[in-house]
Amino acid sequence: MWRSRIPFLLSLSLVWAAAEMGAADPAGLSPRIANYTIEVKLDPVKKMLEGRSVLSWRNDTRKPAPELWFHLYWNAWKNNKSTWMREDNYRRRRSLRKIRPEDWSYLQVKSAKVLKAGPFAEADLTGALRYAAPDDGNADDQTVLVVPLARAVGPGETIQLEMIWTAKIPRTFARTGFRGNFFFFAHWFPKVGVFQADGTWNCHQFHAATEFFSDYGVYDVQMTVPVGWKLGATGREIEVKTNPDGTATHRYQQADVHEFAWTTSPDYREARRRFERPGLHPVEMRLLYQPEHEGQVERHFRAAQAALYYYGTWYGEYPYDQVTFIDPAYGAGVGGMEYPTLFTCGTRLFNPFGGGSPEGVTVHEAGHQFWYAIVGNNEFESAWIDEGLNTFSTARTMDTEYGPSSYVRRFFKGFFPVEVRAIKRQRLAGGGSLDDYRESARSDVQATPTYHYFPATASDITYDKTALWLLTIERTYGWETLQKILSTFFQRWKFRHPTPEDFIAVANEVTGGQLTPFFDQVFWKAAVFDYAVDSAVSQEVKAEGLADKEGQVVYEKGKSAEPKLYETRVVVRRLQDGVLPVEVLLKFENGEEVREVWDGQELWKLYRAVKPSKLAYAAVDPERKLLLDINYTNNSQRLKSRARLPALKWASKWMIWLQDWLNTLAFFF
Amino acid sequence: MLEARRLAGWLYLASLVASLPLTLALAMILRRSLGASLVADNLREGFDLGWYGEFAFKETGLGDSFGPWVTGILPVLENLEGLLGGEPPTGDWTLLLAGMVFLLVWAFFGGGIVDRYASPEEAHLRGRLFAKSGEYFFRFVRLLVISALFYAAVFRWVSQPLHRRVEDWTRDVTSEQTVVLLTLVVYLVVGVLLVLVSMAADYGKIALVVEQRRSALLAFLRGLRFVFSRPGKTFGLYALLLAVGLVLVALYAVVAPGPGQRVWWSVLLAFLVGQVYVVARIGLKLWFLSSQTVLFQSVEAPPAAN
Repeated sequence: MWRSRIPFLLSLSLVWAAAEMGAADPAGLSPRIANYTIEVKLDPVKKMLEGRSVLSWRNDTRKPAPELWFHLYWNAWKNNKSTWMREDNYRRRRSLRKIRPEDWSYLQVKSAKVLKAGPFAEADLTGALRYAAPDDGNADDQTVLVVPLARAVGPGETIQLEMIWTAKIPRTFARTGFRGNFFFFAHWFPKVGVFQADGTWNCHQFHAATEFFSDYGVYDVQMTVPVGWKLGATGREIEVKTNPDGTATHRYQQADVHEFAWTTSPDYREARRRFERPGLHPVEMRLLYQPEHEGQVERHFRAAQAALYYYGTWYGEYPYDQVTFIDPAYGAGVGGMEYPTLFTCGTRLFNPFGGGSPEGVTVHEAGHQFWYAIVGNNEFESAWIDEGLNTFSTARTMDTEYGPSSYVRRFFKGFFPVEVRAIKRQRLAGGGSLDDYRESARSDVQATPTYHYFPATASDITYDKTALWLLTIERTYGWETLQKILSTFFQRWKFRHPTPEDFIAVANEVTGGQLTPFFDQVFWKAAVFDYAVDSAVSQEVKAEGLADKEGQVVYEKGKSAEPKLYETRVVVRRLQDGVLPVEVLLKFENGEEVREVWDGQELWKLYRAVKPSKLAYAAVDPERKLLLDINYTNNSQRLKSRARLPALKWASKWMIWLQDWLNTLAFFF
Repeated sequence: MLEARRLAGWLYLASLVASLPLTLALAMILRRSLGASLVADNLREGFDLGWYGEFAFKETGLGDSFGPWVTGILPVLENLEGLLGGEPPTGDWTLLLAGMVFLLVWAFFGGGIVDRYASPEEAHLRGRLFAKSGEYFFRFVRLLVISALFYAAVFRWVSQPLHRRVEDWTRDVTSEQTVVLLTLVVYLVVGVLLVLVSMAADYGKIALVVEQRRSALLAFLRGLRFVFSRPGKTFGLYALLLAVGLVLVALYAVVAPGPGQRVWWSVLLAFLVGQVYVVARIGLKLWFLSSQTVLFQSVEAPPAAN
């Protein structure tokens, strides 16, 4: 069908273009291994995509590739038997009763053909296609497609594979789909996996708690949608053609990316700004937003610019010429997600400035241009590299640009927010990552491949634990050291696929190996940290017993020293299995301090001091450097509690809530 | 209404009795959580979300009902949301027990209160209030149960299906504005039904006293008939007093203390501001009852007792 539509010369030119893209380009930013030329047509009524892609794939290893493995992500939502749907049950995020027949999706390859190019003869491989389930053996899962080749792709060789496919668009299960006439497409075409140096394919099934992994390349994509619909996509639009059937074809190109996402809707409005800062690459910024969020346009731009500026300054500049960000339609379920040169934000009709939304999600997803798009870690196996580094970076950017965000409570089905400016969140610690991490601290060892994490708690380890130990490094070694770690890692691994060992190696390189014990605790184990002051007493030193005085032995009882002295005894404890050195502080009423570093190895340690002043308080980790300590309240102790006033204050406020509730009941009865 | 001062006093005392023991229990829980930690200073200066995360992780029962939303106007909004959603507060069974006890107290005093408004010419001795309260107590309890069943029906057969229907209708709606408007319409419908049941219960109470009825169910139905036979007057009165209530809430939203009290006297002052609001709410309910009693008596001739 496609052959009859596309003239022979155009086919040749597409193949030629694909071949050209596949050649290693010394001027390119990335290795350009997986290059796509795609034509796709959207049927917004039937919710279907019809596509044709030509993959130009280069074997960048020293091993032959007798097969090509592809992700068919949308088959994850074909039925409830897929691996993704089974795992999603653990997260209990949706009820199957709410899913209608028209909500499910699929991605079906109708034809797979090797095109004649270089050493490869034309070959129809459609009959040889098969599904694989390399992770869990689930025969019902169709998210990995294997294409056996008539001739293996040798080291350094490039193959052109044409695929013709149809896809049923899902009502969003995760990240991609439709709502009304709003469409967002991610991972929407057959996507080749990553061929590894050992001659095996890294092509995981689609899991509920993981994201994606693919090689860099060049994309040339033509998308046909109803005329008049606004369209946004990875890269830059180079032409738009109106077709006689009431559609328009938009052509976008982008080099050196590992994914291509796009979106279309007749309801989008558009705004553009230019990001320009001394020393950083200028970027054209394009925002597609919902009409009802007109008043939040500048907030989106400010947040995106903050990310480009701070990440660019701290780690390395954003190298692409443009970035598109999307304010998705209400309820579309595609917000808060990243794709190269395109990301989705997400806001509400009513969103007070100061509450951290939509600024937080905009900074975060813009930040993923650095951690994910440019540094291309394997999100199936080590999602923490992009999510954790980005969560940390987002929090730092938000604090730097906006200061701490306020507590916001939403009412009446979440539509109406009330901001309490007097209650502030602390970076990652208060009302943020630590609360999520605390509940899941033992659920997985971080070194476990992400797709083996327990689905319900995976994000707590991936996002929150990583961000917390990064903040711990910052507070322990200083921001300069951590910045050097992160910028070295960014510069060394941009447009490449780093592993956890690569990050740890860089961290140790910068710190001279000091972080090995740290990573032993936080990464290679599921150690939990909880240091506490167990007891603190200060007693006046008084002599009791027999003493020599002027040649005689006399009995003394309760005789104070001159001047008075106090013996202070403080016991600190390690309550969990996590061991890291911590500082112990004894602060006295006269301002004196005793500070020591405790290696934290033993379960408890006694500190004793005799001073002319009583103890004011004792504290373990007084500067709160160890952000993974799950209970910070027990880290300090005064001689005498001062909790009575705050306890009564907050209980009295609670009492007013209770009285209001009682009177609301009584009002209606 | 001036007569209501003593009535309000009794009802306020009841709210104190119902809430103080739990408040003191919560204070002990908070104090135990803070111990001698320096974090207590943060709670004195304001609020500490970091401490709260630890607290919420460990505490169950009564502690579950505590959070940063107890400050300012948030508790009122929290309760209003719960009311419109038919949801009890999260937390201990003791909260529900306190609620039931408070309702029983209102049921006890209800008869005496309505009697006072219905018979202003009688001598208002404390003895009469308690005597009449006791006389009508069990009828008012039965009326309370009947009202509860009607409220449950509103939530079960109107509120929940309507909210689900809105979800279905808006499946392909891409504008939050549209969904907000539809949701507000549902809240309005539910609100009107709740008001209807509330008025039926109020006029039912009045009918129990004024018409010396024995059947709580028939009194409730009497109240419902009264509302439907004079919708303009009954809804109009309710709307007027509800508007006063909204002004009260708006005023409280302006003056409601936030988290920043640091010394004993400011904590006490904040508490007293809250108590003034509570007393005002009680006064508003009494105003409702007195106005409704006057309306009922002004348009109805007393029928024979059943």
